[in-house]
Amino acid sequence: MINFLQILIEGALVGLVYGLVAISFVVIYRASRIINLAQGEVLVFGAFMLWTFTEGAAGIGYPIPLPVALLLTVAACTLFGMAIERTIFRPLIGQSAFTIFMAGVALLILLRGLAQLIWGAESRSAPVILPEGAIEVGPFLVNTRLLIGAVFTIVLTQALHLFFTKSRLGLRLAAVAEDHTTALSLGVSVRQAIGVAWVMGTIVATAAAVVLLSGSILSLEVAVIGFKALPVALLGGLESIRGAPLAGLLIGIFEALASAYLDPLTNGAASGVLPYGVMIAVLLIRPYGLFGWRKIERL
Amino acid sequence: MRLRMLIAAGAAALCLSGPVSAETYTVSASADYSGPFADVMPNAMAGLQAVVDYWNAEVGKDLGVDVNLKIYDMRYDSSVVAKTWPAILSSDEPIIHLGFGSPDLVTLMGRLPNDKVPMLLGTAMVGLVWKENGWHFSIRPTYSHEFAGLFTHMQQDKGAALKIAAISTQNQAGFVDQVNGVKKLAEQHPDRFSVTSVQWSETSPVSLTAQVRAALADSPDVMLVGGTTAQVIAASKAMEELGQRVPIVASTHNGLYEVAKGIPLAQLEGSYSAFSFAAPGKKNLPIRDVFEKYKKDGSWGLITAQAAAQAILALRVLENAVATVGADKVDGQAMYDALMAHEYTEEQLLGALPTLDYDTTAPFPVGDIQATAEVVRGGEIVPVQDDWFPVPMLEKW
Amino acid sequence: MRPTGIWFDSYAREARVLETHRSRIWLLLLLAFLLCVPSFAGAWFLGEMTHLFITLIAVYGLFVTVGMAGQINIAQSAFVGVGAFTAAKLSGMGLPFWLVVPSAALVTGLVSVVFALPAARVRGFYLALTTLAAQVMFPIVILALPMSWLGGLVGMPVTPPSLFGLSLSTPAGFYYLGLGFVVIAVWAAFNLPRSRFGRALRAVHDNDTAAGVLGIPVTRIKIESFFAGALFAGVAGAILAYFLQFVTVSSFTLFTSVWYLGMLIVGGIHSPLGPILGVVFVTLIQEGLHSAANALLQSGAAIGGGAVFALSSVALAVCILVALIFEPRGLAHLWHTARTGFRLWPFPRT
Repeated sequence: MINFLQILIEGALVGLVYGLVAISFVVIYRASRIINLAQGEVLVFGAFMLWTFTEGAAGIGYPIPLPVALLLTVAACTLFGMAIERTIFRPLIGQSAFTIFMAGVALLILLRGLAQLIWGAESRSAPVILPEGAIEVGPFLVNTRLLIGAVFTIVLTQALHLFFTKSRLGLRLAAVAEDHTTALSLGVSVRQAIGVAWVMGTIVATAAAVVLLSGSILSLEVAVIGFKALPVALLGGLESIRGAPLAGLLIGIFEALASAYLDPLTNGAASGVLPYGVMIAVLLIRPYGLFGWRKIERL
Repeated sequence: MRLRMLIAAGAAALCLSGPVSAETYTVSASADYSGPFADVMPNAMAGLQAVVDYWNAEVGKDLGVDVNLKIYDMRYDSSVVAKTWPAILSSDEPIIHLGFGSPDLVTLMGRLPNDKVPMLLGTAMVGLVWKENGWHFSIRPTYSHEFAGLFTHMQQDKGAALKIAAISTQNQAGFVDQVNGVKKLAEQHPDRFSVTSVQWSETSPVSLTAQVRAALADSPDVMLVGGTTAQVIAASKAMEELGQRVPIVASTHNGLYEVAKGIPLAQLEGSYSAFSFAAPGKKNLPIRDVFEKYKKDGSWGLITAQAAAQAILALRVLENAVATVGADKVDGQAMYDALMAHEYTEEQLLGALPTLDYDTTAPFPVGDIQATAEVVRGGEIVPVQDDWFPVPMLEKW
Repeated sequence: MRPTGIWFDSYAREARVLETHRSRIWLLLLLAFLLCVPSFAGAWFLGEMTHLFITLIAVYGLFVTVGMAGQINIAQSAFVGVGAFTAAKLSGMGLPFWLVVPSAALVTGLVSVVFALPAARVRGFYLALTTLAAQVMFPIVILALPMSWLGGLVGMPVTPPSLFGLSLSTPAGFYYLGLGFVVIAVWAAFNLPRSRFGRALRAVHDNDTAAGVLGIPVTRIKIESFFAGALFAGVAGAILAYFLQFVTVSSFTLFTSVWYLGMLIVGGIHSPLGPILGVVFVTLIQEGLHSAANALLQSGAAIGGGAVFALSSVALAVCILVALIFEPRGLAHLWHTARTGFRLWPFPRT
């Protein structure tokens, strides 16, 4: 029994990390109705920027204290988000969802190429920001890094939810998420919305990168987790901030259970296929996810 | 018309009057500058080039043979290999191809017997391509053979049966094959080895605590993590969390140098990297001196050592081919015959590889296969011992 | 915009794809040129052209699904992979290539229908997500299947194709094999918009509710558009299998699917000429950069090689963005504008 609960706890913690990555995806959609396929690459970009200010600077002889490095990273993420809004999405305001989707596809290719161009393909050590090890909670062992990440995710979720539902800016962003053109006609600045969306999305993605990579190594392969975020975001509902960590929990737990009980039988395939199987099931049964706005037209 | 005749006459005169020039042969090589191995490519190619320059200067000059090394970026992609190979064949007419990794292997495996150009890889083989009468070879046996050599050494130290837990991933065929080979080892010698469990994870796992816990439940003596660097790091961290430490055995691509970038070496105390060319840190290593003398750029390390070993074997084969058919008649067939017909001693190979012998039954050295390993001792990466480990015979799996 | 002096006296003549004598002569010249290429081109160029043909067929499949019917499909590379594995398996069982290729196409079509079934419930972006799931699950499923079914881990060798005993596995042989199927694919793609099915696809693309009201079976048409696109993908996969002589899962990645979409967009999504222009343009850029980098490599500058290769990704992405922002109708539209300007010269194009 203890073993079973331990598996559940670990699955939940990993799932909350997925949820954190999914939040960055949902934030961008919630604020600007842009579907960002390149979320994994944005995460990697944020991680590389963090690396530049911590290990990279230390490597060339200018060690920067961690809080300053974090501030610099946030500033870099802001610049990054604004650059993307300015160059890619501002000219595409009001275009069809398909065009915006393809812009996301182009962004994926672009970011992957740029990351390799600017930082090179080597794997490098990621800065240790969160403490390592695990703490004992009764008979259970809880990974410290993931626990901090989980707490951060929950706090962030609540904060973002309050922002989007109670603050003026958040409500304006919600209008943009409904329809660009209508929002424009009501005097809401779509440009500002997209800019804010991308800045927030990048910062959240970088936070997720910190949780994922603290003390591990950083390479271009890490972007794969972006594709895990999609089923999670879909299950929770693309517009729902609070749905994302919940969906992450569910998928993380199911994945852990599949890994423990089904993988030995299927030689490891079960836990790989599971998130995508869930995604297809969600699309077939309840396309707008657990908490999404019921806008998906069905035939 | 007159002009043309003049030019023709001039060219003929030049050809007839020039000094006897060295016979130039092309050795083609695959590189990967944009795929998963892009970061180590400069060092690898530097290793190849340095050994070729050494050979041209000290051996080829006396034989009247000059080797031209042509490097092609194959992007670690089979379709690029498939596209480029016919052109390499027709325009360069290489005598041997120095391959890199599985795209070369899978794309060229079927073609080479027809094209009559042997291929020598520096990366280890996998059981899946263990076919007879192939023209594809590696300086190293399979990953499983290399692990088996280390396991044999460890088992002899321990005395009783060695319990091995494995962590692998479904995403890459080669990784699953490694585990299958080790299982074969346990099958063949059940009194000396047993595989307690196989855990599955992704290539970049978020956390391996659950898998490591399940693996440690059977009290294994070693944990085999032959997949990616991220897996080794996650496994090591999981062991720290659980408070139990078991030596990890990794290979070259995810080995100790790579992992050390992510976690401090002290955490890896007692963990191993298994392979079968001479450890770059070995005390007496002639090939390292050759590299340092002839290199243009790049630094000595694991991948440089591997590439240098690959090059020196290819060139020694060329020497034998020249001895057999003459300096001007060397082609792919001659190289293949020379590889088969001769044994290559450790001294000939400048200490880079153990004595190697090839035949048609397998794409890697047969007979007394030997391997080596490095371990983290006292916070430093050192070779386990100066001699090679013998590798037990493994049947095909 | 037709040149002066062209008029038609029957609908059949007006509906032709090539309206003028001159354009028909140009096509014949192009075909003749393509047929003669192996006599003067080297092995590398023939290999490039074969790979270009394969990519072109796959992108034409995307043209049908994405361009004509408006259904986003990010799994085209996985479908090409399904075609390739099927072809490997069937050719291993001894079937000749002119049976293998259509069978591979059919099997791929059927597999794609499975992933198109959610079209009955969702539309647009959500359908795209189903295809994303297909693409990601493809390698996992193939690797997990038993070795004897599909070669599981290692992939499968493919027996070389032969026509009446003549082996086709020379560069020229592959080139002709590819050329043959490309001609069929191009002919199909140019004629599809003029057919009943093509017009139904267009109606569904423009406004599926209205199409449904007019009596077009929308769900069925959407699923059929996936099927048609996957047929192309299956053919491309089968030829790729023969070309590579060994199929492994790692040749069919999400990145490749995205690349196909990118080529389609740059060329022009809505025009049958789009895929040709897009594929040729992007291949030129890619190979140009690659050759420049190879030359850099062989002249000894080993370091810095990696950067040049990342450039081709950046270059393609910039092309796609430029196309999306400034010319969403792609290179095909630019071509059309240029041709109209030429025909109207010296009068201005209004």
